[in-house]
Amino acid sequence: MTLDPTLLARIQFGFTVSFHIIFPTISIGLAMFLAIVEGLWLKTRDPLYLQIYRFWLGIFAMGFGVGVVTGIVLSFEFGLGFARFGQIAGPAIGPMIALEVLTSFFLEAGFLGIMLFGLNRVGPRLHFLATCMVALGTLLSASWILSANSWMQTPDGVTMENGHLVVTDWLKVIVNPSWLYRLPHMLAAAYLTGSFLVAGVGAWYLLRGEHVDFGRRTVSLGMAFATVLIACQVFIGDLVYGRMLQYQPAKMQAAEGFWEEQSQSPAPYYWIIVPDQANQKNLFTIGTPYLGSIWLTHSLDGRVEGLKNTPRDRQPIMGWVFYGFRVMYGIAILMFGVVVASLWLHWQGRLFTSRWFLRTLVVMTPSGVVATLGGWYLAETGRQPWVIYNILRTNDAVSPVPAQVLLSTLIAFVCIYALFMAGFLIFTGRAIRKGPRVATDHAESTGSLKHALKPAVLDDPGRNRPVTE
Amino acid sequence: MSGAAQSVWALFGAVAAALLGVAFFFAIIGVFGFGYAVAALLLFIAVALLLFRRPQTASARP
Repeated sequence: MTLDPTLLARIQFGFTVSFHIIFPTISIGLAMFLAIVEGLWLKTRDPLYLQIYRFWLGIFAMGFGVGVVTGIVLSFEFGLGFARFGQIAGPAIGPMIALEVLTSFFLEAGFLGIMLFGLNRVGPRLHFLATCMVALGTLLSASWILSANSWMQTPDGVTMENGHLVVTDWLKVIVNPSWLYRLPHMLAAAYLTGSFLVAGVGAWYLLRGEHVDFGRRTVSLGMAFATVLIACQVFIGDLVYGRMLQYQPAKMQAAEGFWEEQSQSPAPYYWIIVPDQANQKNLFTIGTPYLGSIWLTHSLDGRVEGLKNTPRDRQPIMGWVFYGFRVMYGIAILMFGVVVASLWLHWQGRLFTSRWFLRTLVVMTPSGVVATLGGWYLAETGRQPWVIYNILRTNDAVSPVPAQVLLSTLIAFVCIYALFMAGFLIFTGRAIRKGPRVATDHAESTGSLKHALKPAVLDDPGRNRPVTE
Repeated sequence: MSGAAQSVWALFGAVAAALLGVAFFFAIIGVFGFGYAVAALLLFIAVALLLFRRPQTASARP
């Protein structure tokens, strides 16, 4: 059997980046949640907010650590699997990755220690500043990575000279045509992920009748954030769709599952297809009549462009793009339905007592992560066969290394990452089963590292003044 | 009001809320145009913020 180095390099990078993106999504979402919760604690001095902060801080720290470790691997994989991409696109991509390190990593590194261990060592306002700086760092990191990735989707500000890209306008490279749309889309996805995560865990406690006050407050906070965010996300998503239709029509043609140059009128909206790429047709479809015209052309009888508008050698694989989009969009619809239900239950005063709704929230706990993965599969598989759209093909970007090297490192990555995932799930599961600790109404500045590393010492009622509010 | 009448009203309210949710979704994704999308987004958020200020009266454990 002959192993294809290009395919192996793509599988390896696809696997590691799919694994990696889970953790930045969680940590970006939780960092903002923690900043808001700590701000609310500073404003109200309600010890419940401090309890929520401490509980989610541990899970944030674990996700942040795994995210950093798995992210570093990606930089090495540029060399291992895509060295030619580095040679050609390095002048544009390299500085953006370096700027991510200089801005966000340095900011996070400077304040993460205070955020994790300083609750009892520094004043509450300084600690709040540290939390805000870490949240800002995660935002900046996402911003630079989205800038680099968006440039690969919609490259601008460069020319090709002697087989190398030369930057002619840095502003156009950084603020490329899709970045301003995709950045808020990704940030909203991460914040939604955090919102459904905290709401799901709170709902689990309410269903079990444990930590009821904590559960109610986290469900309330999570659903309030999710309600605002999902509405914004649906709005932003439509803008991103229009932008990508303009700049990457093949991606959106594949995402809708139509082959013919013009679909029938009115166009259905396909939910399930079995595409036959070789014969450029669908073997099986399930869709809703009229909905394709209404959603995609905003009319009752509009036609939708199919993938045959794009030459075969420039087509992405429809199945990956279509199902990546359907997973993301389908979960967005579910999220919207859940927040509408939460508003109705809120109106009735039954948000915390409807078991069916709480069970739904528990099921939706990882929904943000799954939707984000779907969105990234849409973005990355839809760009194929290009690694830099219309400039560099993926086949021309891989390293001249033997397939065996790529296969052995892929197996090593799968084994190591399985350990990372197991560690994260075990730690998070234990933390959730253990539940939040009772918090005092204040964070004490004792100056002791022991107190910083073991906040449980502060939870000993014999050592602290009682809750006064 | 009898229990049966209450459940009928609750069902009616749930259906109305669902239909309103569908209308908001269609409007926000731009089916009726960009201006309506912005207006629907702002209205949805305003309604949500108003509703989230309501106290939760049901106190029985789920």
